[in-house]
Amino acid sequence: MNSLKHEQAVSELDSSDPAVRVKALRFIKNHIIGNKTKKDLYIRLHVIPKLVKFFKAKDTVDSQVQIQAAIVLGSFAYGGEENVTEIVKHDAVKPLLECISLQNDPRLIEAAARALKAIYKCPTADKNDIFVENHLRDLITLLNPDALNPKTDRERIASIHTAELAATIIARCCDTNEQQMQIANAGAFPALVNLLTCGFSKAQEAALDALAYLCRENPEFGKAIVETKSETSDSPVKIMLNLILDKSPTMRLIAAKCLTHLSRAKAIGEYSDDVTLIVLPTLVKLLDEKGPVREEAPHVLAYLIRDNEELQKAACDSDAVPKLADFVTHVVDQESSYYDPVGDGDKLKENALMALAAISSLTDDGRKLVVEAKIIPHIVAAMSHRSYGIRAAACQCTRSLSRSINILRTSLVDAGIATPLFKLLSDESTDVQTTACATLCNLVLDFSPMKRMIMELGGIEKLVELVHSLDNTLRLNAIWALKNLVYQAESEIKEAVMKVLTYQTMENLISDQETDIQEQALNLLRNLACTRQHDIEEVFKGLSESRLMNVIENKLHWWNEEIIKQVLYVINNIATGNERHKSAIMNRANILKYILTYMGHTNPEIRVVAMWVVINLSWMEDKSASSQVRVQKLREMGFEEKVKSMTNDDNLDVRERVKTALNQFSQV
Amino acid sequence: MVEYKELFVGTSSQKKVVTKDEWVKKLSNVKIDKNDLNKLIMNYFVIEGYKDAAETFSQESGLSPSIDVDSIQDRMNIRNAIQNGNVEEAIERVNDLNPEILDTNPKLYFHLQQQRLIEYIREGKIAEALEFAQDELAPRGEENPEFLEELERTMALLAFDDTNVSPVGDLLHPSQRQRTASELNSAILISQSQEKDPKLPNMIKMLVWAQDELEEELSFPKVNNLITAELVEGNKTTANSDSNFLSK
Repeated sequence: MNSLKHEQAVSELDSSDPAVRVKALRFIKNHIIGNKTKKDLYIRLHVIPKLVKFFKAKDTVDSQVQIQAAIVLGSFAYGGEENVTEIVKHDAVKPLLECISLQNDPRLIEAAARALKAIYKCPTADKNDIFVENHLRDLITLLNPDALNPKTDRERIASIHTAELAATIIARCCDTNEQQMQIANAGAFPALVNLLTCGFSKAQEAALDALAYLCRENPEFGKAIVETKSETSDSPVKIMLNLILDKSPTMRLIAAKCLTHLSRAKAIGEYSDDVTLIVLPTLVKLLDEKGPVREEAPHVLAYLIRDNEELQKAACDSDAVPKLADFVTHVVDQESSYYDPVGDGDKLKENALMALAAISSLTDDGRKLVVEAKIIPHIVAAMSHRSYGIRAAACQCTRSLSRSINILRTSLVDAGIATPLFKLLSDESTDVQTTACATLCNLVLDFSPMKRMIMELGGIEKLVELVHSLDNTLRLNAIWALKNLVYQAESEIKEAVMKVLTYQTMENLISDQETDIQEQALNLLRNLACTRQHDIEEVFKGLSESRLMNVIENKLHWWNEEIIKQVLYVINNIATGNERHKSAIMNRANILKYILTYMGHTNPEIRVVAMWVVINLSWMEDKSASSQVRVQKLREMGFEEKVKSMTNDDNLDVRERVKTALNQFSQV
Repeated sequence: MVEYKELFVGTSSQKKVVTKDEWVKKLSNVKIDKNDLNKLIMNYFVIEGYKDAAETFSQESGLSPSIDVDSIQDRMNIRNAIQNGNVEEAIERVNDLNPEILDTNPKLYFHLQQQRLIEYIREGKIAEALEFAQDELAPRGEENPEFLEELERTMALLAFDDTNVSPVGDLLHPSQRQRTASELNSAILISQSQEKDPKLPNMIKMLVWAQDELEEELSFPKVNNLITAELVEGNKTTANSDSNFLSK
């Protein structure tokens, strides 16, 4: 390619005549817009630092030069992540932020805002600069469609377009709670709600998008948005419910997204029926659209119904599953391209799998529909896809499906998921590993036909390896899976697990810095000491009596209710053992005192377990002297009296256990 | 009991006939607000970018255009540039209007570049055409393989001296410029939050469809020629029932 004329344009930027510079800038602009090759060429010719310089020497530069330079910078930013990195590296963001101040030429404001929007579109761009000085306030001022004082209709289009750009920038700068808070405090809500009724669809879409990200996972701001007074008589939610009926699919999608985020933030209040009757059906209907709308709709749908059984049932009643299943089976894998590095097909497939995982996560109805759609072989194939997002999403699907014992025993076995799933435990992406491990938890339970196979593949060794990984969620899921593996398992399996894991590691995990991990490790101990005296004896041998009792005593004074419950279950399982096991507990006055205390705990579940411990400790195998002594000791410590005081407990379960315990005490 | 006679009535080939007089009377009973009709026409002028017509019509009807005529002028200038074969000027103008449009519409940008190539070929500037195709269009094809087929079709123009026998001669037809100009016009309208299609052509399509549906049940005077809108009775059809409105 002949690059002489381009080199000349770059050198003309150094001219002292503003007219020459503007001409060169326009030449560059008209060559790079839409043209990746030319963008790259000019970046190689080091044009970016020259452009940035135009903003720094304030006194020598006229606004025409700055306007054209801002447009050129913006166009570079549209060329993708590498270009944005280059722009950020040359410190272009701060001067562009200076340009959006209202005192500047409206055309400069618009051009700079456009460049900033393109820069912030890139997820890796640093958002910090926007939160210093007056930039945030300037941006919020620009949200007013009349901020640039438009006189002609042409200027009005520009002013509204600038408001749209400001809203888009805001939508891209609320990744963290702290950022949401700063933007809200600067007064974004009334300005954005006002923009919702400006009548220009692009600006309305941008405002919806910004509001959606400002209340994402944030109940406080959700409520604040819902309660914001609009300039019309309608409430913001009412306006959004109006926009969700718009002709344009993009508007419908973004309105549905905003209402979804409000719903997830528990801010939707009196309109919750509309979520089921309008938002959900709209999202399902948008699956029939094309391009980016169709691609994002399943993502929003998945988020809307996650953890919500009622909405999952409503989704089952719609025709979402066959449509989503179609995306999983029929979307052809595309090569990625410059304009769409992930590839439309990949993202759609990933989002569709996520939505299917969500629909089938809590209800058997949903799982049945997925099975009936005959896509399990495709889900299994997707577990080996080149995109890690698709692998993780497919894994999430199998996880939801594996919650049905029936499907686990039939369709999932037939599809042969054990081997591909096991491979994902060693995936290069931690996300994928974590999801795979969570799925595995359901596959290693005693009723699972795949349990043996996973152990034969080396499952125990792999899970123990993951227990020692650096990622906390991954460690948690790994210990969780091991705990499930020994649940109601044969003694040999328990021994096989502990041989690899070791009692020392389990003891360490019981004192882990993460409470969730402590809880699972205690639950593992509880499962080890379950069912057979032989198994209890193994635990005594593995840890030694004194270490075991120390662990229990230590954990009993923990503040966390889940931990207390698990320790009490450990004690209970030991108390079902032989006389030696029972007396190990009886010899620890501190442990007994804690049990006595927890019999009066406010949480009925804890009272029930504590009562079970009393029942097992006061159990007499025979009329032997040692049993008599044991019961006598409990009575002396005030257990019988405490049990008597609980005969009128609120909880039925507790009252039943109280009856049994009193009956046992009465026999001595 | 089943009344067989009744069943035959429905499938009878004898359609009910409505005479022209009856039909005209029925039509005149439908009240259509003149203002609504005017708006429909103004909408067509504004969206298609007929600035002068919009201004004249505004004076005649007393209706103000929904948007400023300046912005119609902008679009009209761009459309004219393409109609006159000056694609470069059109690109410069659209970049002045909103530089985001061509940076975010790769397909549109490709079609504009393709149009430039077509213009080079039309003017017989073969060397320029080859260089342009290599420098500008080939990289677009690499970025988006979906463009390759169209690119190859355009290059095939070079293979035939006589465009009348060329299988891709349609690319040199004025309708190709019109297609490119309309695509660009729509993209600008979308960027300005405006409707990208005028309402009138759709309503005319609906009229044709509704007449066809009704004809299954009823013999009535139809509008066959959409330009004269003359009511023609019975099954008499004029040959040219297609309208310019529809071939957009």
